[in-house]
Amino acid sequence: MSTRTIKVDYLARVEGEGSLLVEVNNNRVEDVRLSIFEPPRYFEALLRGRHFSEAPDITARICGICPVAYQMSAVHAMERAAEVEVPKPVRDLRRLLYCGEWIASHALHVFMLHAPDFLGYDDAVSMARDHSDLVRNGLRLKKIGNQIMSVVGGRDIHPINVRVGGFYAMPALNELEELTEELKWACDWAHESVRWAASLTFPALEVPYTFVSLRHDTEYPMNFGRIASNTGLDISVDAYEADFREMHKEHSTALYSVLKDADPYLTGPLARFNLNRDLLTPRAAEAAKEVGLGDRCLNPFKSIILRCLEMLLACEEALRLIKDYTPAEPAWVDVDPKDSVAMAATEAPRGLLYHRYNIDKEGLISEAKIVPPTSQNQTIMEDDLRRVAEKTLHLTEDEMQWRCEQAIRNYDPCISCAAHFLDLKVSRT
Amino acid sequence: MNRPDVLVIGLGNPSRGDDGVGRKAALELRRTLNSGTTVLDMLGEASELIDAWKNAGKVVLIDACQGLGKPGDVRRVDLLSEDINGNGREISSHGLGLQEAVNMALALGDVPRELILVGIEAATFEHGDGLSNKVKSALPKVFEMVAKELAESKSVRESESA
Repeated sequence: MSTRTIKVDYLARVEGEGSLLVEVNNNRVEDVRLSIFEPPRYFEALLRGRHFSEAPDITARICGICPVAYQMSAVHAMERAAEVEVPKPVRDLRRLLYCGEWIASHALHVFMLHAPDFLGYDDAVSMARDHSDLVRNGLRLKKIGNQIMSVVGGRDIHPINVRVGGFYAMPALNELEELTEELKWACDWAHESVRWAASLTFPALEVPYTFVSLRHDTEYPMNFGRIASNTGLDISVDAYEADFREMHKEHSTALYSVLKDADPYLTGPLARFNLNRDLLTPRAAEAAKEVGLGDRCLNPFKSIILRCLEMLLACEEALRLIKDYTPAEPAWVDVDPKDSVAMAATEAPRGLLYHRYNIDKEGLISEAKIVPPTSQNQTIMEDDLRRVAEKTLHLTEDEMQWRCEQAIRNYDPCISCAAHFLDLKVSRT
Repeated sequence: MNRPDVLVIGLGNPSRGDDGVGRKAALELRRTLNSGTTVLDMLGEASELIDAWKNAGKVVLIDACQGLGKPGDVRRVDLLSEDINGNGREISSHGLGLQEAVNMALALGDVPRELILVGIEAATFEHGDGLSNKVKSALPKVFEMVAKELAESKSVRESESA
């Protein structure tokens, strides 16, 4: 077989949207910069003047990996502002949809992107030659997540079935029941994957982070909850902008989110686990105990275990929600516009996703603000990079780059809600 | 599960300008091709691609590209013998791209017998629906090339069964 090389770059995968710079001078890490690209800013402008009912469809296009998260934060914001409560079947179906996104997103990240870092491969392709079962099962798990999104959301990318007030149509019971057998397999295999992830070798790094996530009284958070931290924060979503702020840094067009006292914080699986350990589903709790996850997990590299744990949790929840499902009508309730400020936060696979919309009495959006998880994690990512770079100065540049990339992937930075990476530049003058 | 012997897949993100050309072409082909040909349209993420094409005979992919030539140029690439990325590791934090899907399928042994890309050089990947004029004008050529691939596949099958 002759091989010819044609340079072609495929989209969704456009280069040059972000980069990573680590500057080493006299064996000291002088500067660390992660530049990210932020389409949400473009969408904030696009949303101005649009009707509030359009927000879920428009924001779903921000990210091909987590469209559900954008839709959920948008619909919850609109419904909160209108003081509308959706019926329980709608609420449950939204959680099921979110489970699908967590499973698909985490499976892609864990098995295709992060696992090669741990197992010593350049990429998932070379890993697949030696670990074909891991890759096949990872792809199968991802597929079940995508199937949930397709059945509930109406299609695989940019679900079209979600609307303010509910869904356009409730899926038929048999469509969901058809997923049950595969989900039982998925539970077993996700459980196995927690054991596998826990058996990996982790760089020694424990950081006393400030964790921020939603916290709900009765369920591991996806759609609902107050915003909580391990430093005593416990606020309604309405107070988000009073307690958090965004800062510009010269090297990046992105905004850096910090707490109001300028402290950086971490959001995502590590934060969710640490703040909601007591709310794990039964099997996820059992798996956590089995692999020795205590009450706290402070090693960012162990986020791979927590993603596996959250996949197990999402599979368990999906099974429960399908078992209890009845396609009750109405599929939606009417939501009337009023002059208001609409806010909501939900838990995207990679962390807290905050939306705020200012709406006039005609229902038109006059201002939109979207704070994606990756921009919230950006300061911590840079701090981690500095820590990791300092610990790996004795390594070759290739090895150092490897470890730095692995550290960034701890945060599963999003293609379109943040980084397209990685170009490590080390100058040792 | 039965797998089609011939499969046409249009790839891309319709919200990113010309990246939507593959899916738009697929929608049109689904309307015009005879019902015996399975036509899919998808984002193009590796896992869904591998799942779609494994066990298929001949697969014709339609996707937007960069680096083929001028915007609107259309080119046939045999993905089982030609490499579309010369850079090794694809630069992406999330999705695995088409080349990685091909490589992954090869590593897992999940490749179709024939895997042909009809690539269209894009003019823009900016956010927004709609194709550039140059890419839109290339669609007849794309349809012609896909039809040729399908005809060749048909004649091969006929000669095999003769």
